[in-house]
Amino acid sequence: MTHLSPQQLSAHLDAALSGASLQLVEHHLQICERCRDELAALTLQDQMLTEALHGENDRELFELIGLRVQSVVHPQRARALEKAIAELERARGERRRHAEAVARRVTEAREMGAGADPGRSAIPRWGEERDAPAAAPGPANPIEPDAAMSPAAELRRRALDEARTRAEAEARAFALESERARDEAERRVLDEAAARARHEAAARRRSEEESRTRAATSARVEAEQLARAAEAALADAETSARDARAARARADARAAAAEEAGRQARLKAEEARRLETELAAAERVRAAQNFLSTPEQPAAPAVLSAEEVAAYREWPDDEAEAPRALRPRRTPPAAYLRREPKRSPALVIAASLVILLTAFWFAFGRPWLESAKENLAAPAAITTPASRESAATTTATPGSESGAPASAPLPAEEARKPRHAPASEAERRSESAIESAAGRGGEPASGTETPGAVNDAGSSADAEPEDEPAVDLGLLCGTVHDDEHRPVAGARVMMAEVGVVVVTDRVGRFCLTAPRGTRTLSVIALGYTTHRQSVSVGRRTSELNVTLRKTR
Amino acid sequence: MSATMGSGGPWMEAGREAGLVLSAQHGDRGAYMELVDHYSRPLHRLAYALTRHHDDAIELTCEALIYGWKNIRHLPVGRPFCPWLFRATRNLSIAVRRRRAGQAESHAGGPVRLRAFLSALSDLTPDEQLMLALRLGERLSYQDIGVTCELPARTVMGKVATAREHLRARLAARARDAA
Repeated sequence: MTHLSPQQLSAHLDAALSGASLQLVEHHLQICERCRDELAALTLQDQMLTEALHGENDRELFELIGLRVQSVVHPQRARALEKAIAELERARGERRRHAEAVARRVTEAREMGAGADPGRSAIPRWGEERDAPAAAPGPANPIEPDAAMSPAAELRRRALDEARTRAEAEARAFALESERARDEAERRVLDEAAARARHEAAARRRSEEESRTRAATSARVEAEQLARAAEAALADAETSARDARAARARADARAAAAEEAGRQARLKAEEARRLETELAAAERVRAAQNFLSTPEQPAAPAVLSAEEVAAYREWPDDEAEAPRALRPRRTPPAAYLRREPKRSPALVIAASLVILLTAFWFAFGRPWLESAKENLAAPAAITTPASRESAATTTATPGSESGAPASAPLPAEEARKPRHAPASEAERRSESAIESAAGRGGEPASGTETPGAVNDAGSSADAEPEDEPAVDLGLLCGTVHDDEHRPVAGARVMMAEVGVVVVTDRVGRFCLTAPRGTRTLSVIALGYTTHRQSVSVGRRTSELNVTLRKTR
Repeated sequence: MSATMGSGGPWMEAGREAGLVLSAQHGDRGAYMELVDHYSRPLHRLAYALTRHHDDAIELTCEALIYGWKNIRHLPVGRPFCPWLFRATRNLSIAVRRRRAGQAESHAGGPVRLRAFLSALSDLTPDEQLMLALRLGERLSYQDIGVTCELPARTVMGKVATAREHLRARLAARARDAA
């Protein structure tokens, strides 16, 4: 069996063990008698040492110490303090001498008592064992009576016997008193040790209770803090949810406002389109009126379609002898006059449909056809003198004579067709011109022989070609898209200098023909800012990318 | 070292002691005398345990307190006064022991067994005497003894156990010599 170490015993004696160590030591002490004896010996040793270290504890001693220190701390009062110190020391000296005298007297009485009983001391001395064997008979007493003793000697012997008897009695009394005092002291020490042990145990219990209380308090505080933190987090979450709901409500409101704005914008766009249509109809009416009122006008206005011109040309006229171009002024047909938007909305709508269809054809169908043909053929000039001649011969109709050369470049589409010819005829002529140009293998046209066939709508067979300015056309195609590179459909691409207007398709693409040179291209779309750009129209097809910015 | 002492020892309340020490460091004699009044009894007990003689104990106590007055300005701010004074007493006791070297120890009167304990205690080293005096005389805990001696508590535990063992061995040796 492994016994407890001195450290374990010492720590257990000082109540410094706890937990598993304490349980181990206590369990071992229950089963090991040797360790219990060791612990008891250490306990007794501690008690005796504590008693031995218990020095003087009287008040005068500490007064003396205080005065001595004060005499150094207060040097100016050292002289006065020295007197008090001397007085205290004298008093303590007298007390000590008295105590020493008493102790000496006790010692003498004990020694005398021991001498009275030479066989065995009746009063055990300090440090002597009670069970010690009796000492050997001592030497003969020098004052032992003998037979030949004189009366004086007998008296002295009796006096000595009485004195010895008194001394022995006094010594026994002192011994008994000392024994009682020692027993009392030991009992007091044991009581103090027990009281100290109880006090330490109580202090340990209090400490444990305090530690448990502190732990419980700290746990409660921590739990409260956690609860407060959870409440704060919950409040934050609720606040965040409220904010999210408010943000969602604001977003819904903004979406509703945006939807309303979009609806308003659509309404405005419809209104704008309606106004544009009405305006175009009014322009057409005014142009027709001007055209009919001025017989000298070389060609029909561009805003009039071929059908309209043809319908007008076929207006019954009494002066059939004169050429149509030279006929006197006529009143406009009632149909045109009825096209006033305010007078006849149905007519205006019909005219608008016709215009839109025509524009659609010229904007998309015809450029697509031309581009398809050009793709089939080699690059070539759109117009050549031959094509012009061919066009002149094929399109020479009585009604196509204008009698005056074109004084300025005309719009591309209208320039390719005779102003006074039907649309089908103009298309046919334009296509034949393009085909002829393709048949020449893309030979560049000379400057002096620029084609004017498509432009010279007013030229007739009897008109002199050399008098007409040659118009060299170019094809310009491109794409219109917005900032986010999405195609813009329905955008109007205009070349104001030559009066060309086309509309982009659903993929934002457009193609137009215009006289060569540097032109200003304008792109207008609803919801976007107007884009103006200087472009160079060449003989070959040029690709153009136009980016529109949204209006704010 | 922790400046906070346990409540079971002779320590003065920490804030009050710090105030008195600070005043004494600035020359306040009254403040230092308050410290002397409070600490003279435990200091005398320690001095008696180290010298085992009444007159030497008084002399050592006075020397330690005078040393404290002369050197209190060197005590760092926030350090407890009593452990510092105990350590000074232990060092001064070595000088007293040297002065008494060669003289037979004249223990005060009392039971022979207690005088035997004091005689055996004198055979221990000053540190062991200090450990036993602080543990048994002042009833300080291991932590407070560690604060006083600037040692860890576990080291103090071992040193106290060793001092007890040595004391027990010396007592047994003296008993054998007497027999």
